[in-house]
Amino acid sequence: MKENETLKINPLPSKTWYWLHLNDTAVKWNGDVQPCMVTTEEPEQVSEAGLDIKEMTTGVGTEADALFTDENLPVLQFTAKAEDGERIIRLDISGEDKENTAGTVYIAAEENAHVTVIEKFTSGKKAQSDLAFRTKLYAKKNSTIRLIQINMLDEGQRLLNAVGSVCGETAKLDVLQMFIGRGDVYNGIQTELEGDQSELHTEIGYIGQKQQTLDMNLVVNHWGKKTNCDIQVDGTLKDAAKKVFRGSIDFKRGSSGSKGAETENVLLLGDDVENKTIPLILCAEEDVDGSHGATIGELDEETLFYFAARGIDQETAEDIMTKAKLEVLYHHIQDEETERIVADQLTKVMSNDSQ
Amino acid sequence: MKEKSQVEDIDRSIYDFKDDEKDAYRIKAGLTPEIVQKLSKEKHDPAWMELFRLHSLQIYNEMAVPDWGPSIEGLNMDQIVTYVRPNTKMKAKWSDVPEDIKNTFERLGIPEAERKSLAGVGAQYDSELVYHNVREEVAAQGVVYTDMESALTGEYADMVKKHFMKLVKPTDHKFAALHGAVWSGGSFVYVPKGVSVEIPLQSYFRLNAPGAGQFEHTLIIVDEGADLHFIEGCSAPKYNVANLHAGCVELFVGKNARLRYSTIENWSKNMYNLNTKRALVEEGGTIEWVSGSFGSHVSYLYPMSILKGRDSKMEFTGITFAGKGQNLDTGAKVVHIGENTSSYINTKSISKDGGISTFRSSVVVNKGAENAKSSVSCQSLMLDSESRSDTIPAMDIRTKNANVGHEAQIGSISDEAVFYLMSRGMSEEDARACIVSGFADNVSKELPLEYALEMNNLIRLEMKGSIG
Repeated sequence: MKENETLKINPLPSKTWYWLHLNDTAVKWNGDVQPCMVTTEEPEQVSEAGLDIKEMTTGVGTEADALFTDENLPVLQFTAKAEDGERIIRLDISGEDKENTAGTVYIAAEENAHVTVIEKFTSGKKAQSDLAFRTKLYAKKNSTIRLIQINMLDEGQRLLNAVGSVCGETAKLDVLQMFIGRGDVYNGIQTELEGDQSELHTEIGYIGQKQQTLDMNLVVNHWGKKTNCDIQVDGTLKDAAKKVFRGSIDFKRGSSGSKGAETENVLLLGDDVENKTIPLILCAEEDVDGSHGATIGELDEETLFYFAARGIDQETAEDIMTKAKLEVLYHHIQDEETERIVADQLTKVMSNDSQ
Repeated sequence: MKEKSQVEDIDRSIYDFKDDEKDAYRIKAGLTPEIVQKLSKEKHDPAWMELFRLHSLQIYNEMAVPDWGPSIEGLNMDQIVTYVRPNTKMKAKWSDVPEDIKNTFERLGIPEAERKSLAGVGAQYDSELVYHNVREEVAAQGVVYTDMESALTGEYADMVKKHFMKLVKPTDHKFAALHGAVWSGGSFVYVPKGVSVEIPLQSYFRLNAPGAGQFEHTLIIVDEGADLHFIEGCSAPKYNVANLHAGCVELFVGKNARLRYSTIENWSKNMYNLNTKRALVEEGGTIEWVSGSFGSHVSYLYPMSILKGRDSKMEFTGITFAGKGQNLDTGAKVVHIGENTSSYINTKSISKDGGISTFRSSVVVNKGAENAKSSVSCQSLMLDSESRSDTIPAMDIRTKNANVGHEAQIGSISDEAVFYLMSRGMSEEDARACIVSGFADNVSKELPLEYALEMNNLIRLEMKGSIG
């Protein structure tokens, strides 16, 4: 891959009118990547038979794969086993002092295993830098993987976050993402619900400020019978922030008895914000139940009146609501150390939001 | 294993009869500058229109075939005849229309509808209108309802030139350019300031010739404070060769005016329906679309509303029924430009027997559209697993003072609902028919009574099938 090549990322599974500029996103990204720094207290642990790495596509799309091919890039591999109990793998990921970095982690949960993976993307030393990170998850029969991703990169630091996942029979994947940094984020998650009764639950919270760009693509493919997914995306856009959310639920033929639901709430607080949303339901199976809903706008008058009646002005009310949306999410993290870090970061971001 | 009832396809026998193409004039098949010039000459176009056609053809040749919708690989423009003129001039009395053509429209119930419930009727057969009439009392109000060709050269020539393909430009997409190059037929309507047309006008488009295209242009201008309901109907017999419909509808809704545009589309299943409809709405104006899509092999149909004036409104109510061999890509588009504008899109779709139904929409709220409100609701019913149903709704919001809501659902007929109705004495067949009729109720109640009854009867008839 060449330097500063234009990548088409976050592709929509089914195209629509080009003039909407939603079929994918073109980004310039330097293909000359160096290893990112991944800090963890967990020793890499791969099963005796070796890690069962399945082929899987990430939500960012195949063009971005070129960023992860260099042999010198870190590739961490973990296997969680049932006998490990409730395992937590914490990864701190940073570009350190480099301008353009990348890395990959593979995580497999063996049958009946339960593992929580916490990935924190923290600021490097370079004011202008790019970090591309790929996470591939394979949840085998009756296993559970919780993926928690916290983005805290600073202004001028871009994150390309590529997640691919496969769930076997009765396996469950929980994804919680909080984008509470100040840099641009390109985020793509693709999940294959292959096994019968497998599940995906996704919660995403974000705040976009100044000139920040948040570009997201979620794709859930229902293959197995009685599979279930729900996607909840909740965020606030201020100043001149731009956000794109693509959410696709694809019921493949044979996925009878499956359910999929996605909801998105966007609070618009800036005079120059741009919000694009495209929630797809693709359906080739009769016996399914799919739904999506979106509400986009400013705080309603009833809410503002509630605050005003208590002596709280509109600006403060908006801050309270913005923070409340995100606080709901970090209480779902269920890891004290991470919750504390998120709370601190949120305070930092909110206090500087108008600078 | 769940027991299922069989839902039959829509019975098209009332539309699927053919007339011989006696003494009709047919232009050579294909699309070249020479053919376009010949067509222009045949139609006695003003000079500007001939240039416009040739420029549109150039745009058509430069534009790519869309790759985001249903496949149109089966459409070969080299084999499509873009102009077929029936062997008659336009008449103002049914009795003067040639017998075979008159029979066609009588079988479709058009003269009867005119007598009972319409203020005026236009009937197009292949590429030209064969009948046009408007009630005297409506004409006396100053309402103009005429064929596009007459309008182009007559008293309203300047008005037509000012508005023709200004809303839908040939550069919009490949088939808008095609329309610009080879359009013929269609209606021109002008409703003067403050005039309310109490009963609807209707244009009916019949494509009889095999392997032909129909490219009618409908231009409606509803002036300040005026009110109109316009109904459009279309049908064709089925042939083994592809037919093409690439019509264009341009609607100008003036200040505080209201226009309701209803369409029952019943093209045959060899038809590629690549139609473009757009409305520009001024301050306080309202555009209401009612759209039923039942026919065609492939459809691309998304009426667009541009809410330019403050306090302007748009409502879209639509139903799509995709059966065997059909890939119907339908929906709506709205752009909010003015302050306090509002839009409401409500659609239903039914897919069965391998049919593909796609709901596609866009809601764009521009930066200056303060206090814009938009609500989109789409519901899809899958009647079997051979079929497919997709929803692709997009929203692009660029003002914080907007309020935009969207909801969509895809599912099958609920077993509980069927059981509930059966426990009250209905057969399974009747229960399912009742549920589907209820599902389509939002559209039928927006149609004039005669059309609503026809639509409900169609659905009810088709739900009568074997169980197993």
